[in-house]
Amino acid sequence: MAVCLVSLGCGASVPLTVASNEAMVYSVLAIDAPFQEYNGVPIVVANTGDPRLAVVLKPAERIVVRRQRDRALLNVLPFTPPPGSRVGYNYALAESTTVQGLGWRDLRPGETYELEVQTQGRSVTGRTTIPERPVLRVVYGTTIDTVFWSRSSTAAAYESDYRSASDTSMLVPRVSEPTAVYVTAVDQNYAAYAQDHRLLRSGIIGAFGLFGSSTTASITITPPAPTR
Amino acid sequence: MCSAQDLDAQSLARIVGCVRAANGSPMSSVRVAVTDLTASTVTKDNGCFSLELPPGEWTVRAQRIGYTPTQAGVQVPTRDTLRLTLVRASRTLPKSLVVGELDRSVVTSIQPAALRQLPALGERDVFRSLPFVPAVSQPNDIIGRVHLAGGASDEHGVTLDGHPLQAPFHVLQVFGAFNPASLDRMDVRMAQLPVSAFDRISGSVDLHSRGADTVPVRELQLSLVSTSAVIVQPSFLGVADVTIAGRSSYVDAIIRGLGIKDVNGGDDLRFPTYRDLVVSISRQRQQWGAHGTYFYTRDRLPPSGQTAAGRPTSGERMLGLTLWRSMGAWRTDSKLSLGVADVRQFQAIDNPNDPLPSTPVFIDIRQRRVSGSSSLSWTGSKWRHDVGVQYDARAHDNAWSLFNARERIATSAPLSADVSERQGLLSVFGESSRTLSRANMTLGLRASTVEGATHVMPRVNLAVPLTTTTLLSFGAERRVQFDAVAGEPIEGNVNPPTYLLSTPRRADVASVGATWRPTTKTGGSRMQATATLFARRNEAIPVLPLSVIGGVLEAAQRDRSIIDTLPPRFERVSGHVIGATLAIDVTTRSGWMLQGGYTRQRAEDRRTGRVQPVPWDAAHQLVALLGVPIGARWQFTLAQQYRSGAPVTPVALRLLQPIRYGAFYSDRFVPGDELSARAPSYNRTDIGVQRTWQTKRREWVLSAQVINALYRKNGLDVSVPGSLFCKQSSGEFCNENGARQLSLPIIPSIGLEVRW
Repeated sequence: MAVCLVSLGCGASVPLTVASNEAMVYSVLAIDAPFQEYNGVPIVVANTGDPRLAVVLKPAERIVVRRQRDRALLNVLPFTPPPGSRVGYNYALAESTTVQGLGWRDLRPGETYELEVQTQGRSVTGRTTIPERPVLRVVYGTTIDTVFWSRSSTAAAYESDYRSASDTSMLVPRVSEPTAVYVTAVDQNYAAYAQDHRLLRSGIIGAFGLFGSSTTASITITPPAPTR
Repeated sequence: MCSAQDLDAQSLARIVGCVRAANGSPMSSVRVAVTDLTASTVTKDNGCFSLELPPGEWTVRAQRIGYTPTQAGVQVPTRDTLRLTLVRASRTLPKSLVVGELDRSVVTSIQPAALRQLPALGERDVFRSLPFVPAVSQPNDIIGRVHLAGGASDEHGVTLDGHPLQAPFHVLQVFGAFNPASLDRMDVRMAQLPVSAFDRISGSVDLHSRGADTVPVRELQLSLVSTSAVIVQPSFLGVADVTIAGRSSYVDAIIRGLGIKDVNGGDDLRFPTYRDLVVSISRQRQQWGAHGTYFYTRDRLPPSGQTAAGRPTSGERMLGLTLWRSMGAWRTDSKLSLGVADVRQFQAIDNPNDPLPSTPVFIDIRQRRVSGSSSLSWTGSKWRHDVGVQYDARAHDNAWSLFNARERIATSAPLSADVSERQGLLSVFGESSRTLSRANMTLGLRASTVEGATHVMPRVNLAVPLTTTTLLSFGAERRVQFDAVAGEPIEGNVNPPTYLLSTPRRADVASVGATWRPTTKTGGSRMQATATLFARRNEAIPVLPLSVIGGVLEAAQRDRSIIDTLPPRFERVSGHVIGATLAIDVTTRSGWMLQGGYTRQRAEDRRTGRVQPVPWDAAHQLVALLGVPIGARWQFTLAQQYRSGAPVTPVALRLLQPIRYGAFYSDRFVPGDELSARAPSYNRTDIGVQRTWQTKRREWVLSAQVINALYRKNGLDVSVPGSLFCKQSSGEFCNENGARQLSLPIIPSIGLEVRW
């Protein structure tokens, strides 16, 4: 205690971070997400490393994404972030169909997709079924409007921007101009990973990380015309 | 004359006296002592006291903070009532920020007027001075909330003239909603709470509005942030003493007028405008008195994003009335308090540099409280008895979602709630005090009933003057509290909702204090040293379950079972606090002042079978305030604060997690052992100089100060107690050096004040 007083500082007894050396693979097959053209569908193959630093991207000796129904391959392209870029992924699905395979615009709700990655001497596999698209409708109120959506058998949970009234509705404060609101259905892998922050992997075997999917639907809320 | 040792051998006679202000109102909490004897006491609420003295001629001296001490001779025995009048001290700057005219191991008083000595960050703030009280800490340089004696920030109450306040802060809890000039003093109690105020388990901060001076007073203070004004009018229209203190800010207009950009170079830099008002009306007579207090505060934030429901706003209104009547040895007190606190905000937070769409904030909090109490007291030769009844009716409507914070801040606090609660709390209390030779003993009992269950809280206090200069006090009591905030407030956001509890949190508190004050001559050097040991055993303390701790914000948003069932998802845990403080206050005849305190403390909870520190635990705390006169008119001030780092949860692993429709992702920090590491310690040095001079009927104060003069990087981002020690948006902050990156810079400033 005296030492602490004299030095006016007592060091932390436990390290604030713990370095690790584990393989990590991350990808979410997203459909119709707003602003998706920024990233498309990225795939991250990396090493966990030092938590103080961003994950370290690692090359994959082999990376395959295929549609389970017909074993159709999706076209996975290596991606090199431009210098200084904040983009942090090293692979991505091509946007459209080419001779090398399907693109991310060919992803369909209800389909199951499989992932195979060989990296850092490890074999990583994963599987996800893209949830069905929810159907939205608006019930207008006096000051708050309610957006309802249909329940999907392939969706494990829904993500909404606004305060929920139930697991299939949300309350939207009256907007001043036409505004698009979004609801995202997520698969079981995504939902489990999001709901347990200590979960280290979901939807994949052989590495930390996530292989999941989501489908987003939107509807535009139009404010009522002002009364005279 | 006789020596103190002779007292017991002689037959004692009782004298009775009363202390009043210059306007005739009774003055409570006045220390009354007999020169050359150990006998001393404190006046009751009716301003009266009694003392047991040996026959002879004695001098009785009365003193209270902010007033010039007075004394009178008395020939014992006597049947006459001794009458003493206290006059407000001149407006000379006081030397001590924290003063202890009373037993400082029980009550510590801060004079807002003394804040003028303390180098201030922006506005002078009474709450910012609280860390200079031993065993009191604040999270960082931004957040104004406090922790008393190892308690959580929602475990103490704030009262104004005895009426409870709910949200007396401005600018998202950055500083208090009180113009310091509107206050007479601020009392901080952590040990030996009165039996009428057992509803906060770690203590209370009792603010007292400025009473009427003997002469009218006008004060006007201008700054770049706000303008404040105080009007004190004794005997206004011959009816009542009136004090009006108001403050209004315009910093947002200045930001816009000067074209100051935000950190991204945009026009999104917004700052709330705020106002506060304290009105105090008092009429005091010999046999009765009435006092009304009105408190108003309001913050308004400029709108941003898609807002359709007006400007975000928060504030509080409180109206309090107090009546007393005295009939010989009997006295009645009645109190009525009406309070409403609200926060309303419906908007989206836009970041022009963020490609992601904005996410909305939805807050609609309204907390109403009506409190009424009535008590009857009787003061006899050796006994004093008090009985009373109190009723609290509270209604809280909390609709609250802070989705914008979910990807930016790791916290144990939930980010959504939708609960409406009502509570009626009936309490009866009684207390008896007995003078035993030189000691004074008090036994008290309070019983509170809510929803059919009754909770009993006993209390015992003992004060024993050991010598003419040393006072020993002991207290043990049970306290209960019928509300809780779900987690510590999040930096940069409004206070989360307060939930009403039918099963209260409980604490058994014990304290032993010793105060040593060597006898000094009038106008000479003064010294006071206080040592306090305190211990607290907690039961049924509501905390959030582990599944919500560690930044599981996405989970909290999606798992509606977590959100919609609050507060039943509170876990009840036990714990304890053990601490010791040592405080010293020295003022020399030449004007040097040293005031300091050291606190050693351990506050722990037992969760899931493990004992672990609470997130706000600070093992060591050292504060010092040094004032040095330079010449006749200059004064140099050095303010030093140190406390050891708070417990945090280290990062065990760094992964990625989806955000926003699954198309984007951010860092996912997997927590290690909960609260097993310590954040860097806090260390800050402020210096200032002041020059004071007086012209005809005016006092001028020129000040220059440097905040954080040694540029200690204490960190502003890592302020959420118990959270992962990382800033989620940038992993580089996940270590000690990173945590210190964003910190208070060296801030020099100058100021000029005029009073007349």
